[in-house]
Amino acid sequence: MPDESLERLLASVQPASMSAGLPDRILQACTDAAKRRRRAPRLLRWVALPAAMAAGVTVAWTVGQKEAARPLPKHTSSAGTPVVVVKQVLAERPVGLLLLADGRCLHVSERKVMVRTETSSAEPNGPILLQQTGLRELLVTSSPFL
Amino acid sequence: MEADQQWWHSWLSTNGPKLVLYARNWARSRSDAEDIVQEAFVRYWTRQRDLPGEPLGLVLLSIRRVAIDRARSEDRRTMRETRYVADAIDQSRWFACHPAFSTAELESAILALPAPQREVLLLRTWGEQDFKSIAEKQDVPVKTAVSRYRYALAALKDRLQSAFRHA
Repeated sequence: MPDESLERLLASVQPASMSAGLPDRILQACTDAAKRRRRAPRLLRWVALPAAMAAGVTVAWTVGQKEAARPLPKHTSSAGTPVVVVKQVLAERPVGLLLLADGRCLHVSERKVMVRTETSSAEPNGPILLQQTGLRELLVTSSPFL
Repeated sequence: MEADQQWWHSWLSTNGPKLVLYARNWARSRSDAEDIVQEAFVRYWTRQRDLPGEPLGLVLLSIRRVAIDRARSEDRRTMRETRYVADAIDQSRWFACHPAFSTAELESAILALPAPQREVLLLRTWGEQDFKSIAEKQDVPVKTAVSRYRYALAALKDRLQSAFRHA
């Protein structure tokens, strides 16, 4: 039998059907996963960004660790200051730490965002001591967490 | 959002059997394969859904990664026990019945292939992947993927002479 005939014959064989409920089960799992992931970006968008901007830091894009390699939008703020991009999300929790590309940290909680203006020596996942010196503490009135 | 869900439901209904078949390359039972497909699709959905192009290739790649991750994470004892239980209870077939020949023989012949050849055959024939994307998934040169496919076809011809004679 030539290869072409065998290929045609094989292609005519259908895979066995899957469990009837599998598509629903998969899409439900996707919805659940999306809900779990939604909290952190919302926190970043509504809490970290306004606060950072108010502190004079322009944050162009906030992403999870693995998505950080995506091309980032190139902006400058209206004042002409360069955009600071979030380099790494250290903890995707309501209280989280964002390490900015320039080395500064944003410490995000449900009620406040603290921006460390000097270069951070903090280690990812380790305790970060945010000294009061050099920090600006901001209340974020637009936060959905308030 | 509703339309999006409907589109994906339809896509899964159409492509699900191909995905489960590919996952069976690593799984010992259909339920294991479906778990792998579910985990792989969630990974794709959360990380790659916005990428351009036909999703099938990306979901197949995700299945491969999930299956390999799972195999690495299970210790030998668990695997042995799982294999024993799965072999004992799983009688589900890889293929639907075919009017011209026994698909059980085809399944046995495919299972007898070396794993890399089997994977190429599944990706090429039922996963609708070209050799370039197969080679990328297996991290081998395209020529190697083509050779594996040709060897797989030759082995199937040898093993299935009687089954195909009447086809």
